[in-house]
Amino acid sequence: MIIDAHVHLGPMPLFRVEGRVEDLLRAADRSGIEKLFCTHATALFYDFREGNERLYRIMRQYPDRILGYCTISSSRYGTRAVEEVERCAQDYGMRGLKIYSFSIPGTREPFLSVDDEWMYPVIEKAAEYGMVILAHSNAEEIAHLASLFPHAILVMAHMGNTAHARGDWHRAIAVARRFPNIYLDTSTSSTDFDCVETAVALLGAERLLFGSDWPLFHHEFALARIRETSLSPEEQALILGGNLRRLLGL
Amino acid sequence: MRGKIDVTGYFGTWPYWPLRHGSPDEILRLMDRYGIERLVLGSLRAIFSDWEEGNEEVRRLARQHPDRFRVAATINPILGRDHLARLQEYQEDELIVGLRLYPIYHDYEVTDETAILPALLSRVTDRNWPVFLPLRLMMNWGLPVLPIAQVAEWLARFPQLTVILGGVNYGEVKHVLPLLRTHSRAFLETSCLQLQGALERVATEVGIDRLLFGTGMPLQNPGCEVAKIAHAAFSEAERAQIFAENAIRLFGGRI
Repeated sequence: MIIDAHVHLGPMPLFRVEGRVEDLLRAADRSGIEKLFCTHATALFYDFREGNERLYRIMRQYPDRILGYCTISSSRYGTRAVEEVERCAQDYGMRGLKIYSFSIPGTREPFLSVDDEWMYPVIEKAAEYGMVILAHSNAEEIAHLASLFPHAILVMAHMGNTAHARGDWHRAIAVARRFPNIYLDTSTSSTDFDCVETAVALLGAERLLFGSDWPLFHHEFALARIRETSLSPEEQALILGGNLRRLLGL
Repeated sequence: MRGKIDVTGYFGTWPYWPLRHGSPDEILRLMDRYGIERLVLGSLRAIFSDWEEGNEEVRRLARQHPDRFRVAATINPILGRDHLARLQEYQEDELIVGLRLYPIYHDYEVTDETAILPALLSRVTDRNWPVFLPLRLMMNWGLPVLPIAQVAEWLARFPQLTVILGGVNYGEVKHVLPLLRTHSRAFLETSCLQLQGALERVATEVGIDRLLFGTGMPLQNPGCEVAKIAHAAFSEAERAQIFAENAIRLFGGRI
């Protein structure tokens, strides 16, 4: 079973994409992807409560296909953010939390960091529910979170292949070696040949999760990043879904 | 029918981390795996160290495999001597198909008063030789990016130049498209443009004949670079244009 751990639904005007669920399912079917772990772009970039609710409606429509991340776009909402995690876990059955570090424009300095005192109660609440926490972060942020929350399942989105993380996937692998509760998501616009193979060599295939970042990137493009490597079929199977099945008990 | 023609490959040492697939044999294996008949190699040594030595390395490799490799020679207009003589030598080598320039790595801008640059580009234009101008070496967020304003300045100053713009990512496409519209001799190489729909957008707005297939191997995974075109919303005829025909038209018999 292939599970895509990093998918967005809803409009993302910055990238000129609409992220319709019908298009997603059609694309996933073509590529043999059974389950899609999704955030809603409305939650990520506008109003998390509204976006999470929109995602829940889609989850109800396609319960066998769509898994949900509760998105908390900003920790600055305090207890409302913590309550939202609780609501998403209890009422919506969402199995993940998506959090996002925004950089100050033109810099790589965090504007809203996932590694922030305001975010800690949100992470703590998600860890209580055993949620998979997908954090758009750099290596320093995720390492500090891993040290503060050793019981949390932390997934470093894009495994360092972002502007915010300076493209430094080596550092992502290094901190994942140090903290066993850090996992790495393979979605990215970078097709760096050595990244995935090096990560598997140093961490083992058990620590990587396949992600596409659909609709930004085609599923086949993202799958090639795993399949068009020297990894064994067993290693690929873990990355493409086995690991997430284990983490979520699917 | 010819195999794919990949206009962006590298050979040499990558100074930032060891390459797992960088040997000539491994590059040839990858080319076979993805149906790449010809690969245009640029030298990493020429970017980071000695451009003449670097060019010689890739030329030797191309001579060993003339049916598989071509060379895009790199010239650093700031360092070294006899640039024009060297360019002439390169232009007479049938395995060399163009010139690669790296203003960021060689510390110059088109507006600099580097005496040799206009003469170099004049000679290149006279022979209708393409110039590869990569915005970035590979799609890694840590690497520097040549500002679009500088690219625009190049095209404004040398309007007759045939330019292959490489290393363009989704953030830069909207700035590159106007340049492609106004500069009919500019082409876009695909290796860093990964956003779904972006290649189709370029094809729609400026024409499919302006796209050239590139992988950036062995820095980048050619499997991903092939997959994104194979699964893009193109007809088979359009895919054939991107994968090979546009390059054949541009480079002629040299490729």
